[in-house]
Order: sequence, then structure tokens, then C-alpha cells
Amino acid sequence: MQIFKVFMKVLKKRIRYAMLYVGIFLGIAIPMSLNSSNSGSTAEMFVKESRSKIGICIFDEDDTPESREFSDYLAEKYTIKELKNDEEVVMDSLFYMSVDRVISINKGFADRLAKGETEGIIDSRHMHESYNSMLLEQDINSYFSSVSAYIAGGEDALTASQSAKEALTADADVKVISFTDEGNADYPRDFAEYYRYMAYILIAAVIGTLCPVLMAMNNKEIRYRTNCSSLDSSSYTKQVLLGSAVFVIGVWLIFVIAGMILYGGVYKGRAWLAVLNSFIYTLVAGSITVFLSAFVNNMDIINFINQAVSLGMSFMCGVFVEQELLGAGVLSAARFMPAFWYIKANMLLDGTETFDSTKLMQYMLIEAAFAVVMALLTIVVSKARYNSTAPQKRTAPAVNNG
Amino acid sequence: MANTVVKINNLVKRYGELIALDHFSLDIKEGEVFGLLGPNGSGKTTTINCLLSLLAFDKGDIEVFGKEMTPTAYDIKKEIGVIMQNVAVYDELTVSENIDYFCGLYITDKEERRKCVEDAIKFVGLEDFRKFYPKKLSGGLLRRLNIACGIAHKPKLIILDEPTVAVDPQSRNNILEGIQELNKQGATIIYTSHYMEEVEQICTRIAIMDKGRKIAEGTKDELKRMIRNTETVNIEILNVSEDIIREISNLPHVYQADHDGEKLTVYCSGGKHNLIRILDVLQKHDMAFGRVYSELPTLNDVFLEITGKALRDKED
Repeated sequence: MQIFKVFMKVLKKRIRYAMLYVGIFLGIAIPMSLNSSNSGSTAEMFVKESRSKIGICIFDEDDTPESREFSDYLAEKYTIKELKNDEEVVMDSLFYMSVDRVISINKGFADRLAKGETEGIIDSRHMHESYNSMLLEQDINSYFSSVSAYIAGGEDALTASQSAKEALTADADVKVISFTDEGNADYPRDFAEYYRYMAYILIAAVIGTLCPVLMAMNNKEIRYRTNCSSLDSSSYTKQVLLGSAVFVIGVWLIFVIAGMILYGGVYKGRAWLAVLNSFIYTLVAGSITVFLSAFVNNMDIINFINQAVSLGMSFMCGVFVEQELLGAGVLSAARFMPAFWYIKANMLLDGTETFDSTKLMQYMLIEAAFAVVMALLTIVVSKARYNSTAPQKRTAPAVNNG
Repeated sequence: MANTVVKINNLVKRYGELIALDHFSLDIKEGEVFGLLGPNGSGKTTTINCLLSLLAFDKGDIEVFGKEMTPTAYDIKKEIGVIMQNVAVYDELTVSENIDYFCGLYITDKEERRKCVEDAIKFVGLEDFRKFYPKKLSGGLLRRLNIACGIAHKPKLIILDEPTVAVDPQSRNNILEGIQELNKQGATIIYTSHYMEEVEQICTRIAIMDKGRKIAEGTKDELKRMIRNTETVNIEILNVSEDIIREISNLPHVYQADHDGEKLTVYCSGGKHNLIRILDVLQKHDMAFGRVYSELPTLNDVFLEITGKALRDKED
């Protein structure tokens, strides 16, 4: 086990990088997971947060109970700012973005609303088109649609306004509820966040730490010397792979155990399936690393690829931003990445999607297929590299030829 | 008669159209320091790679210690030590850990290995640097570590592939002395280089290679005897007439005389007192001259005469 021992010694010199990743991840992921349990999903948090940051000013020229209901409705969602009702002040405030929008409730608001008219009952001014303005417009439209619907249903304007306000305000607090309450208790959505972020950190930590070790082991001169020795070449390959496996599984175990602490005890039910899902993904991370080390021998390039792969895949596959918020084009491209299927499996387990064991199995098999493809690519690249270096010095690659 | 350690017979290695080794044969006896001399690209490293079964060849046979050499001939590989031009050690391991690792590729017994590592450290004089990491070592010390890693398992055959390239003169001398010491301890050495001075200094027998072929083989004296030149006389002198040059050319044992405007070069083949006879001619014509020196033939002269070109580039 001479090679294995040296692998571990080399790894020991680099392990602090892995520990740095682990530490940062645990430091960020745990509070985020805990926080998400109190605040709903990321999307909801994002929208809620966005609304609270929008500053609006309301001039109520009608000053009726109906207009006050409307003002109250907006005040519950947005930050109300006071301005002097002066054209110059209003324009300056909009220009310098001290308010995002100025809404004037025109005289006759209540009367026209009672008649079911919503056109021209308010004036809304803004200067900069943004996501915030669209959100506000959407809320105003929703409000008037609801009021109209209640009025059409026979309610008077004030009651309709109150009902609409109540309904739409309550609607903002609705959370995505699991379709499968039974299984979800074992793998609550807030805890699932932890496993979701793991898709990023596993790739980043494994590539960032294992690649330099494999590069050191695959160093051309050292391999030359090793190939000249009386050590069986297949034994070399096996020991390097064993060392890689020990590291990769070790990192995975740290995350699983840390997750257990967060979980509050030994995993139950579907949580074990999440552990299995993460294990398969760990194998994918390991196979990507071995593949990279087969043809890259520059640390700067490795760091660049690591960032591109780990961050790129995380952003595109729904690790940092939930898949339901991603565009169809992005998701179509993401289907060719293992993290996409990892997240899909995680969504099945946490109840975001209806649990289906066949689908889950399918997703995990797709992930595993990525690992197999990576292993095959490694063999192909290693052989090609082995043959291309033959005219100078025939140093066999670490992984397949030993 | 000494046993044959390495026997290469009619080795042919092609890279597409390029013939890297062209029916190359070699016999290396036990206890020899055998030099493979040739310019860059002459086929020295290819020969070594084929010998170590790191490179497949198209034709020929290689036997080491009387057995056919194959990629899985681990019993033969166990007796071979390899030291390359580039330092091949782990930056993450200390001096003794590195030596222990490479020794461990041959010797599994811990106690035996510990002793071998100690001996290797002492041999290369790295006793005070056991715990040092390679990055903390100077270039010379790093070379010593490289050698220690290659010889720690006490191989019977040691192959050194241009181990002194880009090495300072002091370290180079240390390396050459070390090689001679290893040979004294019983190891057979194969030494490849394009530095003729080194090969002349340490090798008991030499094969000169060019374009994948062996163009000459023998001891350094045997090789020098293969060529016409036995002595080259150089005289710093200005304005020598054609008549005087012709007269010198006609002296016994002189086969060529050239004057480049500043220096007269006279090539002699055999004979004694050539220098005196040449100086007599110059004195007879009352010619004033400066520095006079005589050179014995070198392996470069051998290579030059056989191939018509210098053994190594001027910058080497």
C-alpha cells in the first residue's frame, strides 16, 4: 500500500482546502436552512423582500373608506413614503429614486369603483422601468380585478375592497405545501435546502482538493520512475483510486453527519433517500475530478474549471435559485448536467414535486450514468494521452493503464 | 569473462516515417560504466525507454540479466535503478519520505527499506536534510535527492539518462564521482549524455549514436584510434604565406594545415615530435608567433570525422 500511503500524505498537505470548503459551507448552509424554515421558500422570500424594498407615495385625493382600503392594501406590501404634493418635489423624488412610484387616487375613486370602473381611477407615475414596477403593477391589477369580481358578485364597493384586501394579503403568505404530507415529515423542505446546496459544495470541494493530489500523483517524471519500478501497474491504479474514493466518501460523510446534527438525530424515511441521492452525486463529483486530472496539469486551469463547473452548474440547475424560477431555455441546457437531476430528485423527496419512486429511481440512474460516462471519457482521454506521449517518453496515465 | 547484463539485438523503432532506432545492437557487460553518446535526437532516450519496456519497438530483442525484458518483467525491473534528467520527487514529501517511497516500489520489507534509505541518504550526503521538503533544497541537493531515489534499492543496473543537464559544475562533479563510486560498489552503469567530457571521464566503454544508429563502439582509446587525427597543433600567428603552409603540410605525419588569418591549425596523424618540426619550419622562415598549444583528439573529433558534423551544438 505504498502508493496509497503517499496519496494520503499528499492529500494531507491539501486537505485544508477541503476543510475550508466544508467549514464555509456548513457556516452558510446551516443558518440558511434554519432561516428558510421560518421564512418560506427562497422564491417567496425573494418576492417578499423585493416588495418591502419598494418605496411608494400615495396621494389620496378621494379620501373615502374605499380609497383608504386601497392605500392600506398597498401599505401592507410596500414601504409608504411621505412627499409634499408638489409636482417638482414628486419629479425630483422619482428621478433620484427616493421613491419608486407615486400613486394618486383620483377624486371619484369610490364612486367609479362602485360602478365597476377601474380605468383612470388612479394615476401612477414612475421613471425607471424595473422588476419592482412590474411587481407593483401586478399587485394593483390583482387588487382591482378582485374588487371588480366581488362587486360583480353583489357586494358593495367598500366590502368588496375589504374582501379583496384580505384575500390578496393572505395570498402573499401562502407557502408551497407538499403534495405528500406523509413522506415529507421525514424530509422537511427546510432541511432539504441543506442537501440542495450540497450539490455545489461537493463538486467544488472534491475538484478543488482531489485534482491537485491526482495531478501530483500523475506527474510525468514521477510516473516515469514508477513505471520503471517493479510495482505492478494495475496495483498503482487501484491504490490511487482507493485513495480518491476514501477522500470523496470522507467528505460526503462529513456533510451527511453534519446534516444529521441539523436534522436532529438519525435520518428517517425519505431522508435516507436524500442521503443515497447525495452519495450518487458524490460519485459523479469524484468521476468529474478524475476526468479533469487525466488531461489538465495546471493548477490555474483546474481552479478556473472548478469555478466554472461548480458555480455554473449550480446556477443553471437550481441549486442557488429554485428550478421553478429558472427559464425554460436554461433548464433545457441544464438537463445535460448531473446537478439538474440531483435537484430534481431532491424536489421529489422534499415534496416540491409529487413523490414518485419510479421517477426518483430514474433521476438517480441518470446521475449515475453521468459518473459512468465520465469514467469512460477518462479512459479514452488517458489512452489518447498515453499514445500521444509515446514518441517522447511512454509514461502511462494513473487511472487506466497504471 | 564478465556476464552480459544488457543485450540489445537489432532493435528497430519507428515513429511513422521516422526511424528512431535503426538495427541498433549493444552488449553491456557486468561492472562496466557504459556510455551512450550522441547528439540530441540521436536515439539515446528511445534506446533507454525500449530497454525499460516503457516503449514498444518494431523489431529486435532485448535481454537484461539474461532474460527477455517485458513490461511485466518485475523480477528484472527490481534490479534496475533509473535516474532521469528531470528531478522526479514529490514536493509534498520530505527527503527521507521521498527516498522511502521510491525504495518502497521495490522493497516491501520495512526494516530492509529503512536501512536502504539510510544508506542512500549517506551516499548522497543528505544526512542534514532528512526532514527538508524538496522546495527548500538547492538545485545541487535536489539532484542528489533525485539520485538517492533511484539507487536506494541497491540496483545491480543503474541507468542515468542525461543526469547532468543544466547542473552547475560542482554538482556535476559530485554526480560523476557518485556514479564512479556506485560502479566501484558493483553496479553496472548505463550513462547517456551529449557531454563528451563526462563520458570520457567516467565511461569504461562508449557507443556513439547518430540518427538511431550506432556509429562506433569501444573504449575511449579505441574510439580515438579509429580516426586519422592523433594530435592537433594550434599556433597563433599572423600573415603566413601559402608556401610556408604547403611546407608544413608536407612534413611527415602532417595531413592537413589551415590558416584562418590569426591561427595556424596543423592536423597530425601518428608520429612523434610533430610540434618541434612545425616550429622549426616557422623559425627557418623567421616567422614570429604567439601562443602554441597541442590538443589530443576528443570524442567530438571521432564523431566529427565519422559523421562530418560536431557532436553537440555550440551553445551546449
